[in-house]
Amino acid sequence: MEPLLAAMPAVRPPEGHVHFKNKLLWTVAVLILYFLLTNVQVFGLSADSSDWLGMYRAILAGASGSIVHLGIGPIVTASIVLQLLNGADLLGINTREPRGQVMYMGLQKLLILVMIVLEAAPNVIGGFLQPDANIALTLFGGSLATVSFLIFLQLCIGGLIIFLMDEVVTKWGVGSGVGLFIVAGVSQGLINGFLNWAAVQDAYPVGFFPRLFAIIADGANLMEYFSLDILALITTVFIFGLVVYAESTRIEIPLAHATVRGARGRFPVKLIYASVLPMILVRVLQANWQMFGLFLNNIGITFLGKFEGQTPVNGIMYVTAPINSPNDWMWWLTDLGHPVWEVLLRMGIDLIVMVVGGAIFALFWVKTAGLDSSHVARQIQRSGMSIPGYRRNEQVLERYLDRYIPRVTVIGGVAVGVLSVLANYLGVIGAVGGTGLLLTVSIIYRLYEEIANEQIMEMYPFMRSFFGKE
Amino acid sequence: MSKTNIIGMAVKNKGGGMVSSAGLVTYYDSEDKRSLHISPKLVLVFAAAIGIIIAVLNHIF
Repeated sequence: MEPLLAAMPAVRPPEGHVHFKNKLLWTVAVLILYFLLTNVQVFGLSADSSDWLGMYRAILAGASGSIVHLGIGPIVTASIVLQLLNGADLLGINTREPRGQVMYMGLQKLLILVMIVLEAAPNVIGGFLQPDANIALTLFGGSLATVSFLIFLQLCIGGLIIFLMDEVVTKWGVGSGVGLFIVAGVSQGLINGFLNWAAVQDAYPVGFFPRLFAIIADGANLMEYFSLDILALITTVFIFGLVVYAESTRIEIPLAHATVRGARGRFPVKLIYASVLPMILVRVLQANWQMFGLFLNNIGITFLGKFEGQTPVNGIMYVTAPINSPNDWMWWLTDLGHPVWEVLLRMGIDLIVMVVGGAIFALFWVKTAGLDSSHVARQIQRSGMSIPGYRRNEQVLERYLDRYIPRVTVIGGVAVGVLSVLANYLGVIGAVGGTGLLLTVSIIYRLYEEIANEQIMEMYPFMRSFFGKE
Repeated sequence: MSKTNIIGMAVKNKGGGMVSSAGLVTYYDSEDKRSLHISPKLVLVFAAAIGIIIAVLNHIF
């Protein structure tokens, strides 16, 4: 397998240092191209297609029905599968040496290509993206299968473009393409949520500002039509502030270099150590459970609860369904068709699943992603640093880190779980969901840190070696 | 930014050249000379060309 994995196509890496201005140019170019592509509709698509990935849009980026319909789904799925397999040592690849890393990257690329095909196929075969009968008639003598194949082909090419653009950003730009596309999608959702002037649920626009003006101009009751929007605005601002605060909250472990006198440093153990990824895993688990219930319902087994369309209406499936917006639980606003205790039970289960699941997955994730005490201890040891006042020894380091990392991980996991559930209970601006918003703020904060580092490197070129580049 | 912080960052980055974006995807810097190298400009041109071709097709039919 090795020759094949090593020969996987890659975007040419830059030779030497890329100036920050050029990095910014590459990033902006990719971003503009990405936005343009989200607006190009797949050729031959019928108007009655539906978005199968609708509930994951905020996380998967892309745009429904466009040639980048798959978004970053294939990249993220392939990467998570590979990280889990590697974390469990099932691959037999040693990622500590360059040869193993080349193999790992090759395998990741191969898996992304496989995932592009695997994720494009159900969209066409499952009838979610339907071929246009007119185009089939005028171009291919009425063969719907040919048009379906063309749609499939466009989805694959779109997936490939996203994959390549991600690599361009990672190598030539600022941050990573995956992060950039998530942020782009959620930001678009936020702007939409603020400015959209189309009326959907009632007589007034759905966007925050148009709605405010329309209600005032009309002289309608602000409390009745605007209270949820105010709540969403407060939640959004609150989440933004809290995540930025939590990102900068850290325990710093002091380090000193063994041979270079005066070279001191700190290893930060951040509160949101495991990032927001564990939340996505819990949400995906919940979604799979709901899909299982829906599947049973569709084949006529309803002891777990009945579904109407894609919404559970009673039984275990109802109380275990996640709450996505205030309309799912604020029983004093609308008639939910359920007694209050059932709604409260559903809220409680959602909270417990997210908090407990968040903590467990965070611990699991830290181990998988190589952020646990033993990995970090090895890294610090290899860099020649040690904790002042302690023997320079990997085991000593590990025991010291063990005092902090597992605890911080659990506290961080629980905190992010509570935050994510709260954001969904209270609703946020635009249809981006609590998890999407959390992810975006977290990515933007890290991007800001990276840009700050870049600027230091531009000002003091000798610092580049400190950052481990060139 | 103070000197201490900078060195703190260096420690983090020395771990085998692993970069992770929001904890979602893992990248390693290591590249093999055998791999097929594509120029970044070509990627952007290719993406734009595909977009334009499909947009034109949509417009015609």
